[in-house]
Amino acid sequence: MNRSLVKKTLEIAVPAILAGWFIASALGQHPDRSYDKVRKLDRTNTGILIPNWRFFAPNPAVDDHHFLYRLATEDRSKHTEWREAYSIAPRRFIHAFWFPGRRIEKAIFDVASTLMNNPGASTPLHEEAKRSAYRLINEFVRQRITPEPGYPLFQVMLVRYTGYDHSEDPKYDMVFDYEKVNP
Amino acid sequence: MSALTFPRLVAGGIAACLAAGLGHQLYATFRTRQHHQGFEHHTLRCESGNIITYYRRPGEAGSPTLVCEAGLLSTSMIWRLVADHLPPTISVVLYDRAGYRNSLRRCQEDYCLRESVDDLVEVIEAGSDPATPTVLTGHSLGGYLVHRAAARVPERVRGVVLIDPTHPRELLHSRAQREGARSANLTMKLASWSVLFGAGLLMDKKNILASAEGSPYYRALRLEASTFSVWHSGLREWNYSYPFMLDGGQPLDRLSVPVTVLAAESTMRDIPAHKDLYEEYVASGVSGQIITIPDSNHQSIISGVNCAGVTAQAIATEVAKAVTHDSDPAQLEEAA
Repeated sequence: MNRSLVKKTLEIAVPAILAGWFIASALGQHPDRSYDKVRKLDRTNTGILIPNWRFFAPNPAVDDHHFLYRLATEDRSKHTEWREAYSIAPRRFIHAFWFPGRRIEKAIFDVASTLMNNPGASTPLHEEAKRSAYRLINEFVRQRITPEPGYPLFQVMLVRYTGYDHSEDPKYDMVFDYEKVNP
Repeated sequence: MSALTFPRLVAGGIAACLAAGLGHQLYATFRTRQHHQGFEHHTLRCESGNIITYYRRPGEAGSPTLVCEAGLLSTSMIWRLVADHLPPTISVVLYDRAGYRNSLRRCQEDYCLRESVDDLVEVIEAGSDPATPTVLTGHSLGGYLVHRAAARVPERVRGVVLIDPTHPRELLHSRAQREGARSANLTMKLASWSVLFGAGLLMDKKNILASAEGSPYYRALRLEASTFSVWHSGLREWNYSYPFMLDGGQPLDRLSVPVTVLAAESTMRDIPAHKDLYEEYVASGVSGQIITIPDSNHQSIISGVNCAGVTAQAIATEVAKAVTHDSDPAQLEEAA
């Protein structure tokens, strides 16, 4: 086989293979996994050859985490209504480019996930991670409390809510132990 | 050879994929418009403006009529396997709700479930003989629709058989159902436009229709999953019924006929809360029971080769009971 024939073959084969790969990748991007037929061509079963935008988040988050709190009397017999400690900012177009407030929301999400994921895990590392998360959340809420006389305690509740689909009820995930407003 | 550059190959490949997808969609649409063999087909212009196609397989003279209603995203095709297992003495009526297969939606109003119930009532009146007993059966959402229709024409209906039916309160009653419905919400919202542009070819139908594998109607069901009309009509019904069920729907009508629920084994096992809802269905009639179809799930109970025969036998038994009930003056008096 002479050199020019090899060169010509490569000139056709390389762009054709890359184009085929690109098209297969483009067809594998449907958000609904029912349309993953093309991705099944990837025999490695890893999803690396035909990647999908869900690669790093197979089950993308669809809820915001919210911390609600209520104040309580010393004997815990009376409570205020549940109040929001921090409001999730409604998304705007500019947020695609500049959204420094997102750091707080991401931190809330991550710390809440520490408590919600692997609830049964009880290794010393997990236990310490959970204790830290509880301390962090309680301190975060404490900084934002509007105190009321006669209510020295507060209690935090972790709630998931879509924020966009108002037909969905909030999911009440966890209620924390009582903490002092002024430790 | 310089013409075969990467951008040109990509553009050509995407155009070829789009053409293949659109071709597949058109082929699927054409093939699923064919009428059912062995059935007479009739066209009915309803008060709503919808033009409904229904199919009738006559039984023996004076035999009872069974009217079958399909669920969300399903057409009369889903009933074919069960119909094949029903005794030929029973007259069977299959029909497609407006928008599915050959039935056309011409109603000018926004969609609501009442529209489908109204159309079904007209199909019952046109497709069954008033002199003989009529029994209604419906799968999934179709179960809820036939229950409502039975309340509208009590003089015609002698029994109701619900196959793993949707209950208007099921989303309030069960968190598992609510979360499942939320996931289905995304599928429903994306599917009709995806399918219109040929993404039906990318759909993993082997997995979706696994319960119907081996059925003589498997291929027809696969093709239906690639048609725009099925997903478009399903989305219209879903957009109404999802918030309707999140609100708890409306209380079940009281019926003066037996209401029997044929439940899928997997539903009873995996969603125990459903048993209460099925009991409520049974209690809405004068008698009836819950019968669990062994080794079945929500789809295979009607389209699975191993379950459709058992389901058909259970339906035939209920039809026979309805006929007995109809001919027993004492029971009629009690029901009245």
